[in-house]
Amino acid sequence: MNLYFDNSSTSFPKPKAVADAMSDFMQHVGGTYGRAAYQRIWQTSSIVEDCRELLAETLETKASDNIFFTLNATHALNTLIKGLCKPGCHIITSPLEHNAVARPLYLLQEQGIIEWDIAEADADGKIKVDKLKSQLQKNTSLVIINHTSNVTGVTQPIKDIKKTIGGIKLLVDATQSIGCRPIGVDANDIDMVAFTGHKMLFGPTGTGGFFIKNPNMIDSFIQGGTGSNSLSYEMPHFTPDKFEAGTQNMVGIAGLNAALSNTPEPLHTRNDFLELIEKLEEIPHINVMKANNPEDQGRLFSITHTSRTPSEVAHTLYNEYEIETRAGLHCSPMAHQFYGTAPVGTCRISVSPFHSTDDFDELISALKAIK
Amino acid sequence: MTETIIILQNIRQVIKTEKWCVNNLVDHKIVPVPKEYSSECGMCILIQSEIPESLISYLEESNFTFQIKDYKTA
Repeated sequence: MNLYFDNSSTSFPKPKAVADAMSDFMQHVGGTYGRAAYQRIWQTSSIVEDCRELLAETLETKASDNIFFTLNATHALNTLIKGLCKPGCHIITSPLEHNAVARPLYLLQEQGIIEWDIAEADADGKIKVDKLKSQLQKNTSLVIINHTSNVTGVTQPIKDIKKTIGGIKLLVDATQSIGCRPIGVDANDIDMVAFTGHKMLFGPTGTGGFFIKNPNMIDSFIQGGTGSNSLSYEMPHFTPDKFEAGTQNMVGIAGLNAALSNTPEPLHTRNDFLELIEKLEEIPHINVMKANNPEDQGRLFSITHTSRTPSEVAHTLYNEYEIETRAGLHCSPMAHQFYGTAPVGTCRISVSPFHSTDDFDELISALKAIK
Repeated sequence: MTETIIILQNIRQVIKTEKWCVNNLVDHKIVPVPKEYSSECGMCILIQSEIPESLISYLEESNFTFQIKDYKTA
């Protein structure tokens, strides 16, 4: 049985090839990226560049030159937000942002650097695209959208949003959607995407990155050695060097590279997953928080209980049934305030391709029994 | 024999150019950048024949920053 239902925190298990690649790298490859001229460095650097190309395929862009590695999505989002938010600019976000977006914006707002408004949304959190245009101001320079909510799985219509905001920059936080949903960077004319490697891409923790259509829009977030232009105390202006100072997480990137080439075959269908939600909705003491339209549903959702707190539900699921879920605010107080579930939050269920319908049945039985 | 090297701006450009050479059957080697051309410890591409026009076109179309130099092994 696979009773791990906390894949939105980090996916588990990973494809075997991920650990194999990381072990092989540690035992037989080693080396750093582009810092010397022997075979080991060449092999290491090739892994990094292969991974960058695979990420470009995943993001559906031809501009692999504009993809950069970071330690995680939070690092990527901070690089983009702090690089883009100039004094006097107005920012609009969805009401469902993670603290990786909300905290940098709050800091910038408190410092008097930005104005920040929340886009109007339906009850499930889906942005009212037809209302968005009226919220734009002359100084609106950036719209940030959490593509798939890490609380309810509601997925936002980024294509329509970009069409509506036109030349205003769109930053998509694809932390929960990458690997699950097409992002269509080129087709949808997306300006920026921040992503993580360790959730639905099935890479290891410590991997992530971002895409930016025009790398000249922002400065480097950190400065340091790049193995290029070393006589200059200025950071290189060319990419990827501009955004990749310091030794990268080579072991992690080797794992992510293997993950991208070994996407697991799902043990359940999309309909099986939607049936899981339907069956949970039939349980009288369980309330399911999800997208209104099944087409907008990511691979996660939340539940609340009529008489128990989310923490009690998660604790009982684990102690009595060995089912692992995550209760609380999920680092998304904005979303919980929007849904009216703050401060206790919800109990989140997040599935992966490694779940079978038997695993779903186990979860349903357990939740039926927790009255 | 003509021996020239292509020095590129960074390792990513070297790797992409090397892949182009493999895919287009252009004989090449990866060698350290000679110290008279750069103090960096990076790699460049050695071509032991005339550099094909198609390779130059690839480098230009890719917007790579590159230099073509005589290779000196002394």
